[in-house]
Amino acid sequence: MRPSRFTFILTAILGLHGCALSEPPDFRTASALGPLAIGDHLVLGDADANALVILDLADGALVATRRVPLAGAPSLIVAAPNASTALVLSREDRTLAIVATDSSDSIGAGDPRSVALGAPFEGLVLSPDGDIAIAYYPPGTANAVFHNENEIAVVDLAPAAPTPVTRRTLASLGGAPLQIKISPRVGDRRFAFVLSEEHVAVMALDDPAMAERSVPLVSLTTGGNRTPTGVVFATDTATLWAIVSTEEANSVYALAVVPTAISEADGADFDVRLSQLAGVSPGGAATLVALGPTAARALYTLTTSPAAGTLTLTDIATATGKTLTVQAGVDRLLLFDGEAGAPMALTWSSHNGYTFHVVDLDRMAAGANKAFESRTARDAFSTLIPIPATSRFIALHASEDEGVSVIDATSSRVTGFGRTGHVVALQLSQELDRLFLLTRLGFDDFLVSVDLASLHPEVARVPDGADALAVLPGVTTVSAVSYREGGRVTLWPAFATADDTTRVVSGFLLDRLFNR
Amino acid sequence: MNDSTLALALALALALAHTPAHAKAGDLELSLTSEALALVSGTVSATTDDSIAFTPGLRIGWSPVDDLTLLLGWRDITALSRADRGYTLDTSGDALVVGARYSLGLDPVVDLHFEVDLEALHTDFDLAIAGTTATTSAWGFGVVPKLVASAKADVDLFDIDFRLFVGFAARTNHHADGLRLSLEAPASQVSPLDLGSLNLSGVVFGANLAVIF
Repeated sequence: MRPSRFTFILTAILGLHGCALSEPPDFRTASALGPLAIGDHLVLGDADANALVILDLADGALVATRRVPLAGAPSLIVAAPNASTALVLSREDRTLAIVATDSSDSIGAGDPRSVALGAPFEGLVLSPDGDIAIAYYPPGTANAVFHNENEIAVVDLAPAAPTPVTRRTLASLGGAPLQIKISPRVGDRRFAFVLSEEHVAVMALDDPAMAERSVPLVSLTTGGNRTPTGVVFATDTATLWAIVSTEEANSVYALAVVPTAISEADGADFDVRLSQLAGVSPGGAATLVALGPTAARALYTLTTSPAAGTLTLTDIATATGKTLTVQAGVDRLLLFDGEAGAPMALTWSSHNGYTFHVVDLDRMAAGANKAFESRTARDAFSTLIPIPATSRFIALHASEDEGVSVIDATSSRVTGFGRTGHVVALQLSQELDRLFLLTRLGFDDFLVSVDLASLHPEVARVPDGADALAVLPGVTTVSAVSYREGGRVTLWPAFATADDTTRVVSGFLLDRLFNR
Repeated sequence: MNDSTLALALALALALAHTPAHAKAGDLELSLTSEALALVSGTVSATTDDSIAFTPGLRIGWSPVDDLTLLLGWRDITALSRADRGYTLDTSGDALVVGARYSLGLDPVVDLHFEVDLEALHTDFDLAIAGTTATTSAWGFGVVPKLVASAKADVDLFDIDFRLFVGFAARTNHHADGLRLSLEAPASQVSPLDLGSLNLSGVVFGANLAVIF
């Protein structure tokens, strides 16, 4: 046979595509949700992988990484008060998943732990006891055809609830919900306050199908509508009181929810009485406080008037009040328990970040002298946060170098922590008696742990930075979470936050990537 | 027992029972393989854009008896990379291959063969996220049966055999755990990352060029 020449094609690419390929998840962690410290777990959402990521931690170390597959992409995670459940809202799937953080079982469509809401809600509010959740459209999220921004879904999370979801469409009165708050119980009832543009709708949650009462917020003195910004509650035997602040801050309203005979018109068995509070000038703050001996507590409104520089305490039952002239411009108000458990208030002007005033409310109600003391900080602060059961406050400063200090109201002593940088996140742990700060100085992030007894700070560098901070007292662990690609959690034992105790869990959103 | 099975059994018996004094001309071969692997496991979606890997190889063969060739060689797995979702994952592997090919002996020029490879596959995983990198590796094992069609050309001193083949690579899982992404802070302890189990089974097809001497 004569020799032959051959030309060979070495690779035969025949276009055999796609035997196994599915679109991989997008791991840009900007879409991850959380972190939430729930019990002994750190919970984050992985919206691209339709999963919840649960990190089991112990004393600053990672014990296990678990994933709970969900039927749809999570869009909001809320921690239930029982410290063992995460409520996961999915706009895409139109469901609310109830996830036990101790379990890794997947929650798919049709699972009894996945509650169909029927609409792509993006907001979720939970009652303080965790028995009721309300899903709603926050402003700007009902942006598609057939999305009714006044629609809500009330979910009964009590274990024996026969019909867990009640879908309602509230009367719009020309507005849409801005926020929803659930009141504490008054007797065996509680109510949801839907703050909408120019009105407040009040719903009885023991009968979610009952007609709501809508209260237009109109200035009783000058006319014109008001936009609510927040509500605080207090109870008084059979009456629920709510103080509603508005953007037009000279209008602060007291709403009293009282039981009535069942209305023949709509079947509602409660009414809402509206009154406008006096003594509040534009920019003022308002809250509710109960004072007096336990057997005879009385409910008061506490308001500030920046224009007059006054603080007014008004007995709701008698409409009589006491006024203190404090300082012009006071527009910030905080309640806290003093060292002996006495009800105290802290007020200051956001325009004068040096002076603050500590008010003994029992003395003020009694008309006693020296009901308040004025103190001056060394450095200007942007806000004050009370440390419970102490006379000390955390002061946050608008400084790139020294962003935080602790002020003792009894001595005006200011304790700084050196060049910590500005504060990115803050967690105050009463259980651990520590203050944890995530600070940024230049391009570096730090964890600052402050022992509240000695005010001694420990500083540890956060490798490659972080965006959020979570504290888990049950497992004495502090975590700083970065939303960079793949996700990164930095962990420390809560009582030993140093560089050499730093542990990093990097790329945890990629965990078990091949097997999803 | 049919003729081909009988021939294979006889060949194996001869190979085991009788040690040939030497390999006569035409008993040895050196071959270069160009092979494509169409992956079939869902575990590969994070490692490749198109589920296709390139698996070239180089092998030597020895034919102790007619129609049976024993093979020893190496196979590479390349072109498994994904880099568009915030991470870059490169997966590659090298395999030690032993195998056997049985020829049906249909024609001196054109023939059909059954071939089976046994392989020990060492796979490397290189992960990069936002400037940090991690590497790990894992062992797996596989068996690759193939149907081969060949055409032979007789050159002066040797034969050249051109083969086309198709088969299926059945492989065990590779567990990619222990990845530790590098960090700037050396004092930190980095918890390892577990990517899970990857399976590289799939349909193989390609061409093989052998020099027989």
